[in-house]
Amino acid sequence: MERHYDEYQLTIRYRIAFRALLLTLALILANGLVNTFHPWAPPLLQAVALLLPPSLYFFTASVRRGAYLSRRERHPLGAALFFLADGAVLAAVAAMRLAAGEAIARAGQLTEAALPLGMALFFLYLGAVLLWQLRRERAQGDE
Amino acid sequence: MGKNLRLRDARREKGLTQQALAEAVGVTRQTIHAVESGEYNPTIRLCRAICRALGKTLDELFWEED
Repeated sequence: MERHYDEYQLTIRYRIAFRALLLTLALILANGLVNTFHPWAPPLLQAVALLLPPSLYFFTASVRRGAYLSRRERHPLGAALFFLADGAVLAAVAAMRLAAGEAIARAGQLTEAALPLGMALFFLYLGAVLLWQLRRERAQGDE
Repeated sequence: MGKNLRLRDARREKGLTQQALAEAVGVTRQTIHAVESGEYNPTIRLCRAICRALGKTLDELFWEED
């Protein structure tokens, strides 16, 4: 059975995933403490916000170590452009909501309008990191 | 873990790029790079696959000299 990831990629991914899990646990605890004194966003938005840092860490670390894209990925540039396109669409949605007068924060709490903006930044970041890594690998060359 | 210069030299001797060797062995170019630079200690399975692809023995490519 041909695996999607080779042994080196799997080793790196397991290590990074474990660290991301620890980060997630720490954030959940911290969020619980903060929420006790001051709820800072609606529950769904809090959940998404808690997932973002570990996801960003996993993505960035695995891309940097060449363990994000599988061996079968034939179009890494396409993957980067896909993320950027997603980010652009979400940025447009966020811009429309902001233009319609929705506020990102109200009474010391983030509102639902912050979600598309946050997700836009997330996907734009993914695309940018992937593009940066592809450029770095090309510059590294192949001896 | 130091660089595996013997592996790199054997690959070059065969006129293979890291990408070509990676495809022959069934891993990514980054994995071959990591093995050559000493960042990653491959399993015996991968070592054998690399040896087969380069026509060398395990001793020639992976035995650590004191």
